Amino acid sequence: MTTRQQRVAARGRRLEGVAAAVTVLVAGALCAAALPDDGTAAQRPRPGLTTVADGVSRPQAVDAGLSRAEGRESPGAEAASPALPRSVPTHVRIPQLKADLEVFPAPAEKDGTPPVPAEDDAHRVAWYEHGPSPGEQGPALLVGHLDTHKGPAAFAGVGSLEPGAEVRVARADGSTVVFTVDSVEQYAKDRFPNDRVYGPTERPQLRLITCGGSWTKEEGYDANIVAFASLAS
Amino acid sequence: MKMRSLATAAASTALVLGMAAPAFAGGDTGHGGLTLYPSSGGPGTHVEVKANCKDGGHGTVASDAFARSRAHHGRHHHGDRHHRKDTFASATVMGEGLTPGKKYQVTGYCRNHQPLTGTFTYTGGVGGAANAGLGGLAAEAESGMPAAAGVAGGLAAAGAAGYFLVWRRRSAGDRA
Repeated sequence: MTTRQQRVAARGRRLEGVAAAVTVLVAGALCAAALPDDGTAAQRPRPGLTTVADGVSRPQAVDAGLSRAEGRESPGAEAASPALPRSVPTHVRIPQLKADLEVFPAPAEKDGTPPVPAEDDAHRVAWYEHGPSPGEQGPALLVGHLDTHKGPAAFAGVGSLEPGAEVRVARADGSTVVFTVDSVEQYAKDRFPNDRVYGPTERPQLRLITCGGSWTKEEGYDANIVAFASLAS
Repeated sequence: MKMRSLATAAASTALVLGMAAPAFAGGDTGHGGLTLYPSSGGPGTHVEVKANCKDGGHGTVASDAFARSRAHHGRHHHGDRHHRKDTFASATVMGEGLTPGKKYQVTGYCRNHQPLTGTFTYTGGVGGAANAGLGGLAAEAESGMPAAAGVAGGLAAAGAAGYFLVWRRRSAGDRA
């Protein structure tokens, strides 16, 4: 014969048992979610750092700025944002990332890929000197390391740049050219869209290029993160 | 440079042999049997080639525009993980010495010796992806995984410990 108090206590203990089991199960589910599972958008590692953050890719905004037919420009494009004369970029400031980085001119790598700063120069940014300068018509290319062996480098965070974010490029002629981010996109290295990133544009544009995706010791990163920006009008 | 002369020699041979075979319309849309993706690009561009062969398979292609090319077998060596199964061959565009705007012929053969042709347009400038990362963040992210698992494990342990404490206090209370 049990008293009412004993019955209530027993029920309470059973409930506690269930609660404890639920806690353990929930914790187990968290473990599973934390495990890397490449390829699925929901479980991408380090959004905004090694992959593009959610909501910053706006491919249509880039499409609009690419030159369509050769020699044909949409009316008013030039009037809206006149291109500037050529001048070597010296610094790039990205307020959203609280970054103020030194820029140096460099030729393409020997294999024809865009210039990349040396390992021990990962806090600086390379500008492809045989392409447009920031402010000239066409896409100016700035390449920075995502990370060093130890941690974040110059262009860590490019994957989190939001549409409209400012990129301010100081040039040797004393001018500062302001660009606004249109879209941030990520491409597998072996499917890199050359025309889209390096091809001609109607207006002065900027490309911030860094690494991303999955990393292996043998192959390094398997993707590039590219921020597309246009001259602010 | 050695690679280039090899590629050139292979291309010339293929061209000469190709002359004797039925003519195929050139182009990157597969009319000549080869479809290139991308069909244009700058130095260092990684090009994947598909071939319209009856018996499928894989093979090599050759072009003055390519520094190196290789056949694709079922097994993916060299760490290539992103190639599609139906890729015939892949190639890398020369880093230097090409003329921007020029169309370069690409040739190859099916397993049954049927000749294949395609075209690649060299755009000049830079091409290909940048190698701008050394892995510190990824390594950090990797070591971060066990940390997250650790947090979850800690949660489980805390839950169990809390339950034990409550149970002990109640047993003590029962006795009192």
